[in-house]
Amino acid sequence: MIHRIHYVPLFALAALTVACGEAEPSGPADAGHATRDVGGSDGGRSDGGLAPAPTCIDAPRHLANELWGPLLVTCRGCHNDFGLAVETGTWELQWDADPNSLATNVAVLKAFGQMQVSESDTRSLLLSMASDSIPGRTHPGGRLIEPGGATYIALERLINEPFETCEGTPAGALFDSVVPLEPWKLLYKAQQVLTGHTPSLQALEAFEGAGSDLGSALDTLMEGEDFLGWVKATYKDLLLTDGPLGVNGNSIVYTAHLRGEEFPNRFYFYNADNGHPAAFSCCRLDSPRGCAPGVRGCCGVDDGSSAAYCAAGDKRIATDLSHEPLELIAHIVGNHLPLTEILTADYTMVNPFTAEVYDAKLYDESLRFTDRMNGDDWKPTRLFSQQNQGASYPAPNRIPLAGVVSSHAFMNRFRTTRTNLNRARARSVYKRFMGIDIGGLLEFTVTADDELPHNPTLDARTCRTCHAAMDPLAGAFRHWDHVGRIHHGAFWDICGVTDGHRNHDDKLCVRRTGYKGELLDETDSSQVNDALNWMMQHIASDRRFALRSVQTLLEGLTGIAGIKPPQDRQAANYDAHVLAYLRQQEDLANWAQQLIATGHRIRPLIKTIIQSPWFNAGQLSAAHPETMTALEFAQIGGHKNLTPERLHTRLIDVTGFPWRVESSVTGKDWLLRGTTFKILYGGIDGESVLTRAREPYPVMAAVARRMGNEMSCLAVAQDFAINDRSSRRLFPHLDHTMEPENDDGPLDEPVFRLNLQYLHYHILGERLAADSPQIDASYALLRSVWRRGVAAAASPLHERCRAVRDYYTGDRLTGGHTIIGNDQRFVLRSWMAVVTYLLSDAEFLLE
Amino acid sequence: MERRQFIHRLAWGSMALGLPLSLRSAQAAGPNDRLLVTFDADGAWDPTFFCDPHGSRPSHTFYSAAQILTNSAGLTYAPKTVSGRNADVYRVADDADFFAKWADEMVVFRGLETLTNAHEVGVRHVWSGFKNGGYPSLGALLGAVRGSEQPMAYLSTGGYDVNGGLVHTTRIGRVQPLMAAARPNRVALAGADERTFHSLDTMAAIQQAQDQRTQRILGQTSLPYAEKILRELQKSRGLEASFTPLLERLRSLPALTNRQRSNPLITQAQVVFAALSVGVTSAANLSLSGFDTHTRHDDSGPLNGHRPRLQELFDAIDYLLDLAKTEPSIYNRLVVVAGSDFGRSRYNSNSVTDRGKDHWPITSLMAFGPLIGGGRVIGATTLDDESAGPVALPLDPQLNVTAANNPQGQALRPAHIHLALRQLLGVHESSLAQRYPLLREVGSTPLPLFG
Repeated sequence: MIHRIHYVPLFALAALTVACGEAEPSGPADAGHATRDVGGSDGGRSDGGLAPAPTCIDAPRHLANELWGPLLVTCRGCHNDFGLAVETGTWELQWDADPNSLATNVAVLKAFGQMQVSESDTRSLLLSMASDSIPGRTHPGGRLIEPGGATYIALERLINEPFETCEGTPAGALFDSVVPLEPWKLLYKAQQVLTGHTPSLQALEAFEGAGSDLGSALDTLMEGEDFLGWVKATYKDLLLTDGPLGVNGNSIVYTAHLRGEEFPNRFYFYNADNGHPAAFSCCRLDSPRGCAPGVRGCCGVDDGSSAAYCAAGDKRIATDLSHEPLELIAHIVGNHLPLTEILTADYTMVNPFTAEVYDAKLYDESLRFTDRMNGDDWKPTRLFSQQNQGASYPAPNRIPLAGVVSSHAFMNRFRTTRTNLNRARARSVYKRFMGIDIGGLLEFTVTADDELPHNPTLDARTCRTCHAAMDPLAGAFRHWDHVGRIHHGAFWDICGVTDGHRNHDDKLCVRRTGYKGELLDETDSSQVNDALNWMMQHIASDRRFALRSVQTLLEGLTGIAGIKPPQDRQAANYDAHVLAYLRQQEDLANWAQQLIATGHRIRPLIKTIIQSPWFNAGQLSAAHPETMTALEFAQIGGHKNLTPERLHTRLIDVTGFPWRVESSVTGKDWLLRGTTFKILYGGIDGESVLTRAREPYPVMAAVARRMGNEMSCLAVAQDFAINDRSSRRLFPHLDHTMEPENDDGPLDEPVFRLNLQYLHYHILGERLAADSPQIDASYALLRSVWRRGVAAAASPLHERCRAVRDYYTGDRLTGGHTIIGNDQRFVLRSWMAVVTYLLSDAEFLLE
Repeated sequence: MERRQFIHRLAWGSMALGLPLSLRSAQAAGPNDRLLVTFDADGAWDPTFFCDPHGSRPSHTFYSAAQILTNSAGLTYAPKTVSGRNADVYRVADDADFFAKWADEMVVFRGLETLTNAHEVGVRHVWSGFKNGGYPSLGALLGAVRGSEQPMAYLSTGGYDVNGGLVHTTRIGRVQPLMAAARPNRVALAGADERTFHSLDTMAAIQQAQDQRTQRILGQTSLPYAEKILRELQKSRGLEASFTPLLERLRSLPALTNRQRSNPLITQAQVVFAALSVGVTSAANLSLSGFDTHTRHDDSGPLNGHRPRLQELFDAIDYLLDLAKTEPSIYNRLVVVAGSDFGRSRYNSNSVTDRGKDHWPITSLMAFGPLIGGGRVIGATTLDDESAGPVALPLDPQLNVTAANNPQGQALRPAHIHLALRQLLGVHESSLAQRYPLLREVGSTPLPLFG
């Protein structure tokens, strides 16, 4: 018995009936909706009256408001330019990547809509197909609209009726009331995001003195290593390199996923001296080669490498391999290369450890590391197989790389199986680099008792929708197996039986490797052997790559994810949601054009995004209730939780110390490990927790509270212990011996306020007057805590909060420092209270 | 064993912006409110290897029909291993046979049609009752209805825990960091040293100053999203004190054995139980991955294979139920559900060591606890050796297996289960449940699955 699938277009109805529980709305709500188009009144919209009835409706606006989410998002699952429509030659909708996509789609729909069913049936072909109402002819997508229903009428109107011409774009005015941040504040925010550091007051004053040239300031920021750290962090969330094998993963398993014939040195670092059981030492794993006399074998065992080098390599190799794609991206951005190279690079990055695993130095004489213990020294190189395949590879023995997607990390994070045949990887490429969710193209049901054609991925109506998109791309991964081992020849080729492995699609293959109809030339061995790179060249040159890239960068800068178009016209705040979606799409499309125009260099684009309201939003100039909801959907202004990683960096920047378990220099970093606070604080592990939690919740607040307490305890005394005030991070204006008041009232008030002003800037980025309410409040807190502490004859200062030893070296504090072993006058603990107050404040915790 | 590629967890926060406050739950959790813990076998489990056995089917299973076991409630179940004529079972605490131990407090649903072979679709169908997306998980729904004042109304370790913006999903992992977070002012993470960073008075002064500052900022903020976030932070801070009893309860639990400690699901179950016990949680989702065994399905090694994962799952369910039984006020309100994305097909290869199983839309689901009317099997499947996978048999309104041509017969679907669970949990008439209707998914006839 064969597995059978029955197509039931449930999704089409469901997409229209999520909230209303019936098929296309009709009756009063529908009538109200119809009159809205004619009379301009908002009779039928259920958004609480927050969105005004637009005064001008042109065809693109009509399409965007009435048809895009409720219908066309569904249609484009098949009617797109990369999948089924290409295969069948039917009409295609444009996916959001172009600023003119709305107008283009209007034109497409009008043209197709004005075609007749036949000479005798003058009904609109488009309307008839979408309502599946042509006798003897079935719409493969099923019945999407009901004649006379709201969506039918809206589509009919688009096809047949004239529209007025409107100024501007549908959502162009959404941000008109947004007041940008002051230039210094924008620089502060941008520097914090891009580098993890904030500008000093002096730097800000210099910036303002030079005319607040933000462009130049950002250019400078984007030339540093810290900026590349942000780039890597942004793409790490996209590529999920931390899981499941990377970073503290099982190194032996990870390197075992390199093929020994290609990389015989893969187990180089595993020897018994490093604690590996003899069975897992490199000599055993690749026996007898590793142990043969005169041949390079185990690190330290046969070749005399230093024990420190061997131990370091053993410990870090999984992490280094998992970071390889991120280092490639950093190299590309750092050298001002086009971003497209993240997919098309025929080289990769190695450090002194991974170079050994790949035996890269055998083939690249330029690959010289001045310090082989420096794992941060990454260099570009091509990889070569040691298995002599002759002319089988483009250049003798060269591994045919294609940017990050050919990396070991990518192949292991996004695996495949012998029945999946790299479709999952294809899907990942679509999602991560094209912004297309293959799984979201179509909803369909699978039941056990339905009929399937002989070749379901090709001929079954529902299967082919996704497979038409996936399979041609999947074929490009043909050289790599389920764990990313590269093989001579096509290993799992969707279209063939190779290496003795039986494929499920063991029929005559008619879906060849290709992209948007352009096929890989299977007779050209150089093209075939470099199939993945060939494919990535096409992907990278697609406008959607640029669109997805700008979306990635927007999310990296602001935490704002892509807004999905609402599909239920009856949903509350539908109009506002549409408006936010449209505005984001407009900006993304324009930015994608900018990215392409600059040769895919990202720095100009980053400057544009930073200066856009998505990043640069201070206040609203006036209360606009009708757009408030849309602005909330858009989430401008940010105010997202700092990620655990950014908070970790921020703490070091502000206090000079990392936040570690028991404030110990050898303790685990609280915010960087899944076994501590990383997941609790909304982080991801790249394996099963893939979406960051960026909005506050109780456990996160509790973690932040603990952080404020621990860091104030550590940092306050250590900072005061530095004799030279100008070297301090927290207290450059006073000492711990200065009490805030006596029986007669405040002491040295101007100095205390000055330091509080400094702390408010240094920790929260606020430039406040000495008599501002915020400074008043901090000062009041300090004094009240001090007063209470002195009166209560408090217990001795906890030893963790003293400054007796240097945090980093453990040496007793000496010259240039004053040991602070007690706090009898409660001054330290008063400042600890203030620092706790500031470190757990919203302005510190939120971006 | 092949891992599943990834789990989608949609960020629905922005989509839920439109939810008026009137539709949010205004209910606080009450002492009689029912509680839910779901165990998600992530990746699609194979029911023929435990609760829906089909023996003497070498294309599908490794055991004979004679080796199928039966518990005191009449449930047939598969052996864990067979060796010659001997068969062994899934043994849990005290070496007990899992299916024998919980015979009277277990309901097994067989022949559950998920209508998909895609992981993301399967998990949302099974855990929300609605295939096409946009619905929160049942646990999130319960947490939203019951837990407006609970700091961790809905806990999750992963899997399908979409909350629809209705309730925060608190992700839990290990016990130690949670304990550290729950006592933010205590210097020592463990031990008897109770010294604090700040005095209680100082902490109160800090918190008061923070509240006042947040109010000042709110008064100056006009960006709606920023205002929303500040209010969330303010509210979150207000719930911090709720963690103290959680901590105390965690510390009071019996120490874990080494075997238990090596099972992450059990350490997570500890946290879940403690949270239920002190009332900071109404629902929890525990997820265990590793079931997507397209290769090495039968492998019994610790890193691969289907059965070691099933063993871990049963160990954790057993642990939670045993622990809950020590506190009748919790146990008597507890509903535990174990399920998965869908099922698995016949073997996909002739290699006995390497063979795997692919996806199959028919699966099983299990419910546990004193409220479910245990000791029953609902639904059935048929399987012959040529089948691609088990075929579900329709049920009549009295839950009897019926003929395919019976007009009253219907396939058992996740929506049936969810409608019954919503009723069992007492949330079926809530405004949130009305917002996410399921009745139309099953025609107009819910099934009396839990009496």
